Amino acid sequence: MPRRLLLLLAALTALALASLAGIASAASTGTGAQNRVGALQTSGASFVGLASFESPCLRPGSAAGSVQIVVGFCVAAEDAEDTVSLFKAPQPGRGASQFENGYSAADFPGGPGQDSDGLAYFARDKSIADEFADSYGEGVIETKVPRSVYESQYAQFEYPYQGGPRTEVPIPASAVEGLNPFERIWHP
Amino acid sequence: MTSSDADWLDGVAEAFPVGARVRGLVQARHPFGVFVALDDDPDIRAIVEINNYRPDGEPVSPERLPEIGVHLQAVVIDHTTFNRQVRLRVAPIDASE
Repeated sequence: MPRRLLLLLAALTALALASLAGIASAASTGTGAQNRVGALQTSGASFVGLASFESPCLRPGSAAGSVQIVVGFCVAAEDAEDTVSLFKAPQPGRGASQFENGYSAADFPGGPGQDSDGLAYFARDKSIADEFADSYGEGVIETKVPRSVYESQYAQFEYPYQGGPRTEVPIPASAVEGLNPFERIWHP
Repeated sequence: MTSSDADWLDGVAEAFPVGARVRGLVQARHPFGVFVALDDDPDIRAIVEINNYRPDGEPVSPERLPEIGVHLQAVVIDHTTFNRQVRLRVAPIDASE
């Protein structure tokens, strides 16, 4: 069999396996097919001819330098650690970058008493982010933070949103990049 | 909450309680909303975030936020101690009120 055909078969097989794993994961988490980053870790090389990139979004404890594959959607975290989801609606033009690369402190300038207050506003309740997404038009990015990390580093910033039952989490710019290692899901 | 924050909250909540109708001038405009100088106390930092600016009852894109210098009528919906701001909402005015 020609070498080129063998390579093609190998790539198709890998794609099928990745898709099956993704479907199983989506079914188990109830999230449906969405865009994910920081989800699938492979120990081998990337698949020939498929869209792939080396994401900075490595999970804690994963082998640095391993290649992450994005094939439409990927497999959820294989570990079973409980997570806390934070939601944020990207401002126009920032969705793709924030999904792929995470958040930059430079995107949240300013400080106390200034118009831009140096805080990155996240929400525990997706409905808050949805309200902003209605205006921004780029959907909502969910970041899944391990509960132990959330409780030790981010829970302190929780605040009742508009005095009601929903919770916002205004995170100082200096701490926002700490979210980047964790899985992100882009809800269109 | 620090005692300083508590003092701020007590003062602003008395002057501009939740539900109060206020008027103010748009002083700064950002994609996330506009900052408003309240007519009754321009030193208070008041903000209408974009999700709370729905003059026609529908969400607006950032380009449709009011320009600097526009006078607004709004309702106080929250006081946030972490950044010492008064949050406002602009919504359709009920003709019966």
